[in-house]
Amino acid sequence: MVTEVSLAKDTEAKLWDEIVENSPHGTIFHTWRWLKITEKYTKFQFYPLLIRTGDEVRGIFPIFHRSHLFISMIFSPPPHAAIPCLGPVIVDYEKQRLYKKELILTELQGAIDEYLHWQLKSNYVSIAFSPGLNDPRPFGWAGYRVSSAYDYETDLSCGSEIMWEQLPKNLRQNVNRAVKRGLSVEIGTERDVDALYEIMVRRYKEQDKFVHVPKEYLLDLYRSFDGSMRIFVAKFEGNVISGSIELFHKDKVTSWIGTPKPLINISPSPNDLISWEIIKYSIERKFRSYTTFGAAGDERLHAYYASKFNPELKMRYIVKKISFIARIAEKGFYHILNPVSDRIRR
Amino acid sequence: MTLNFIQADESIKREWDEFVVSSPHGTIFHTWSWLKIVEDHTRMKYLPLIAYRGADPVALYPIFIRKVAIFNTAYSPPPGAYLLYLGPVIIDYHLKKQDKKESVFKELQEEIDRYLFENLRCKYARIRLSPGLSDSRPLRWCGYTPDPLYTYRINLSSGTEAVWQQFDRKLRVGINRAIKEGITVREGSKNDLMLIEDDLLRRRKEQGIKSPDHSKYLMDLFDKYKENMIIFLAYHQEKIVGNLVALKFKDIMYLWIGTPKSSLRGIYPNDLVQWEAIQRACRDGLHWFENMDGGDNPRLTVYKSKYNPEPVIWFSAEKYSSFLYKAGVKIIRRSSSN
Repeated sequence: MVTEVSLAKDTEAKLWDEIVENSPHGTIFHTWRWLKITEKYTKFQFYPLLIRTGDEVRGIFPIFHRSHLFISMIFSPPPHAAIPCLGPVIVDYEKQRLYKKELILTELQGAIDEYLHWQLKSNYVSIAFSPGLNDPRPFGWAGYRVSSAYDYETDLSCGSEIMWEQLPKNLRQNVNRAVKRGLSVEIGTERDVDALYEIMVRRYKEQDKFVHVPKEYLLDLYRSFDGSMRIFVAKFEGNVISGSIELFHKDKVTSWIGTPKPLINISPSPNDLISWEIIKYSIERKFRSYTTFGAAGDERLHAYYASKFNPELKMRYIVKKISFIARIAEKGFYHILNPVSDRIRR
Repeated sequence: MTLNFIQADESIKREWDEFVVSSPHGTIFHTWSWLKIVEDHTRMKYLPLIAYRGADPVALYPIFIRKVAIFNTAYSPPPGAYLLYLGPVIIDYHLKKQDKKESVFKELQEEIDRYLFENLRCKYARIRLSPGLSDSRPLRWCGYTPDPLYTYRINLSSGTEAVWQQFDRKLRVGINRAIKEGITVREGSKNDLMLIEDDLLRRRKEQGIKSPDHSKYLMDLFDKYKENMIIFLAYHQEKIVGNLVALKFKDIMYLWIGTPKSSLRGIYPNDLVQWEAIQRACRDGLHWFENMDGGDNPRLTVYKSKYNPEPVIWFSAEKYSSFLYKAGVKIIRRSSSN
């Protein structure tokens, strides 16, 4: 039977979310609501692809498409949407033997490639798989360039007391000193999302950088994911000086956005206290792991994050297939156009 | 305190091997004698480097230097020696906390690069990390392009019967058919290595790959690694129709070389040979059977995955001293492959 790709309709949103919920590699970023909000705030069109063999649904694949000049771009996830990973979610993938897994992924990859090529005439495809979908070989065999990305995951099962004892001494000191100094961490509100965003914009500006994620996007997500999204803010003398937005999905906590360096000069930094309070909160609510996306791949930041909560290094994959013309355009965008437009915006 | 590299000699052989044995990512290919035989065979300059911090050894880094025209190039492992991966062995890496793992590996790679590209003026380096050392970031941060590759390991811990049941049904049928058709598997001797090498040479020739004769290399390895090397041969009507050479080291049996394409129609003697090797590994109390591979050839992968192994990642990473040298190498490679 042939594996086919079709667009999911709004009426199939429930089926979509069930697939995400039941798959260990389905993330909060894959949920229908999240993706629809993302579409609203990016210049990409969302294609919720459903993959079927006959009547059987084999998986979902959210892609974002945009054509610009002669480049037809496919992203999963789209850029500037604060989504670290997306890619396909395959039904019952983890239950299969290797032979079957390869077969499923190869069929799925073939069907997707055909859709992208014939329906969307793509010449730039970038897919970042979610953790757990750890076999990019079928994409490599089909001519995609495979690279690895790394994240830190801390196991929370030992409980907060043992974890506290195992923390590096300087981290424990930072937390204790922050409390003595009068810093406090609390769960914030929508207003605090706004405040944190402003701190981040100013902090980025100090570093000659630009926040690409729109504030309205964060606020919209915050309103829509009440319950799965929490903002933790550090306050000093009644003012928000830093914060972090966390995602609680299934049995995992994801450190999503935040912990900028405070704009005021304060020692110790409130960020260790924020992280520790989030971990305590997560342990109390029986979450299994705490993930920090991205930091592990940053040569400047990795050492700080690796030393904090003795995390495990986790690998995931990014696959790209880019035509010669699109590659030149990509280089032009990243090396010329993007820096120039950032400079103008500043 | 910074890292210093010392070139190890025979006097340190015992310690070298102890570090290899005690590290989960230390393989039989890292052992002192194996690499010395590789040196003889490849005629490349071998540098058995040990990184020390003060008086404490931190890592082993076997490097092979090849001179191409007037340029030095560095390899770990060297090409043309039936070696898939090698790279550094970081002492007690598995016992360290994540931040220490990262800082040691990063520093080691930075220092080895300084040694290779500044002291030895290498124009190119290719490092292939052994499975277990699956953090490619230190290489990437040093300017390498790491590519993920996959070898295949079958977990033997639940016993022969469980392993058999995990096989794809078609594979089990194929093995039973081979037995019914009268295929038998026996252990071979040193002389059979010549036959195996002939087979491998023929296969490479058919694929248009130029390759030297490795017979002496295999003989030397056999003499030194008799206890570790097992040659499995499949017979049909007293004729050899399949083979493989397995290596036993620590808790792994490696399917190293062999399993040529069979000319028998409808019978797959190599499936039976491999199954016999797996049973032998189980009997010997080993935990893993590794069908060594890069996972980059889908045709071979379809065959190998029928054994329901776990794909285990390893990295191959390349670095060029300059864009010009890289472009030059690519042009030469392209023109020689046409």
